[in-house]
Amino acid sequence: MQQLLTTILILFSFNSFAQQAESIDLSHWKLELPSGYTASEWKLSNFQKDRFAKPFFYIDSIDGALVMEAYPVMGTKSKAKYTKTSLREQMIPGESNENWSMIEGGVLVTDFQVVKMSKENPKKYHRTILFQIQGRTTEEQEEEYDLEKAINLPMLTVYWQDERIKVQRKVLKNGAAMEKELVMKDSWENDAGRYFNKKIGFEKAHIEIKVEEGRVEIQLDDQKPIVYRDTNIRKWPLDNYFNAGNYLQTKSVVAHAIVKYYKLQVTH
Amino acid sequence: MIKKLLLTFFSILTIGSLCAQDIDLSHWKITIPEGKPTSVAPPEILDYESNEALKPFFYKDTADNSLVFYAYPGASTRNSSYSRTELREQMEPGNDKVNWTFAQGGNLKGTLSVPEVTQSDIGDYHRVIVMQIHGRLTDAQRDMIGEDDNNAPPILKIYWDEGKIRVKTKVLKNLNATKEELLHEKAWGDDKGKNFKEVVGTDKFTLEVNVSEGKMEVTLNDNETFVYDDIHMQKWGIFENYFKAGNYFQSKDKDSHGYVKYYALKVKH
Repeated sequence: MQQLLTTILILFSFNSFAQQAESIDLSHWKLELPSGYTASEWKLSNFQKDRFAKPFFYIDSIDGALVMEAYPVMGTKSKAKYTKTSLREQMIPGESNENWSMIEGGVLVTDFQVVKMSKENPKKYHRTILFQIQGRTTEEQEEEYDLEKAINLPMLTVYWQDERIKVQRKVLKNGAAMEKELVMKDSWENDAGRYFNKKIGFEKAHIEIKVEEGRVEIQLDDQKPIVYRDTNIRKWPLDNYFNAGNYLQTKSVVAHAIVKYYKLQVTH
Repeated sequence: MIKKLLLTFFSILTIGSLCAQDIDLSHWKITIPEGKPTSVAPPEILDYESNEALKPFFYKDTADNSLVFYAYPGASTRNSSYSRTELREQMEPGNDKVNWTFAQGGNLKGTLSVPEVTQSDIGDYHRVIVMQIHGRLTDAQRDMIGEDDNNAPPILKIYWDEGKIRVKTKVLKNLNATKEELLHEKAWGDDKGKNFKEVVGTDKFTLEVNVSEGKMEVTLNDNETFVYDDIHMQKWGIFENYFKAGNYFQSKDKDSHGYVKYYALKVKH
């Protein structure tokens, strides 16, 4: 009996070890918190000991999930418009100028769960941005088009909104735009956005975002994927990086959202 | 049995304290951020362990045989708004006036760590300069440009910056500046600075700075090297220099502090 117990115990600890091994690799991400705190590389690798990260970014001691909380902070030094707890992909750790082209492509695979969302009014939840494909001009473009600084423009944004997943993307105002016009923010506008049918609410969900030349696909659980493969995608002129997190779209002082990540993986 | 154990223990301790003598302080002067501030030069520095004024800032950690440099804002040294507990090289012990040019060259190698640094109110780690090459005007140069002290800019500053090592140097703003013009502090600007790829965090690392005519090399962990050998380095040849090593703490935040430990430090000319 005792032997059996020991075996079970050993198996159990192996199991938790395995879970640990699957923990989210943060080496190619930069963290930004509502306070204005940022971290990558060594500082981010040390987040579990960092009392400045803890209020917003920590490991759930029960299920091992990476928890990202967002709520407004008084006297914040964040440059974000709203309340942002988010990871920004860095192809080269610590470096924001090296991103991936549409030709190189990229895949983001994630398991997550919105576990808490405050309400705007009794009938309506606040909404948060979970994922983005963010475009950024290359140094060559900045030189060629004589830009004073890099232009950042999200190609695609994935919201948790009304308990469902909404995908919104940028489309050209003028489909015939060329060269410098293509990299200017004013040349693009948001489309109306599309919802997946499934109401995920506060359940665990799986999302995959696949980007390749001329094509972007978003898959939620077993839903029919949303696919874009038109002029807007073909003409997308910027290099890109993924964002993943909990970018709460309100300045309300009582707003509070919690998103858990069980898996967050990028491949190129 | 116990006697034997104790003996072994003490002999380990003795060997340990001998190891710390790795750092030969006979060519270094220490400055601490207290007093006006206080500086202790050779030969007095050799007896640093019995100097009560130095003790809070500059002491031996017998646990790992390191030399500890502790600094916090409060008192600051001349020419700077930040505080430092820092060694200043003295080629001739006790004399600040004998220094070296790039043509004469120099090599500084240290093994160190930055085990503890405080964070700002939003969590940014305070930065620390752990090594420098400082320029110095000769008395003749000082008089020529009508300055009242011998200060020249630092051509090299090596930072611990959020677990990475960052190197900053100077560039001459106007390459056509006359010999007299380039003696002025204002003639020199900061370069952009660059980080070594390797992350050091709070671990031990080795830095080597090698200087020769028109050239400065900085190496991290005998692995990654930055080489500076452009026109700016050639122009810098006009100055005399000295090395600095320790903890030049880059914050004035209340309650902030930093520790730097040196395990080895060697200078050659």
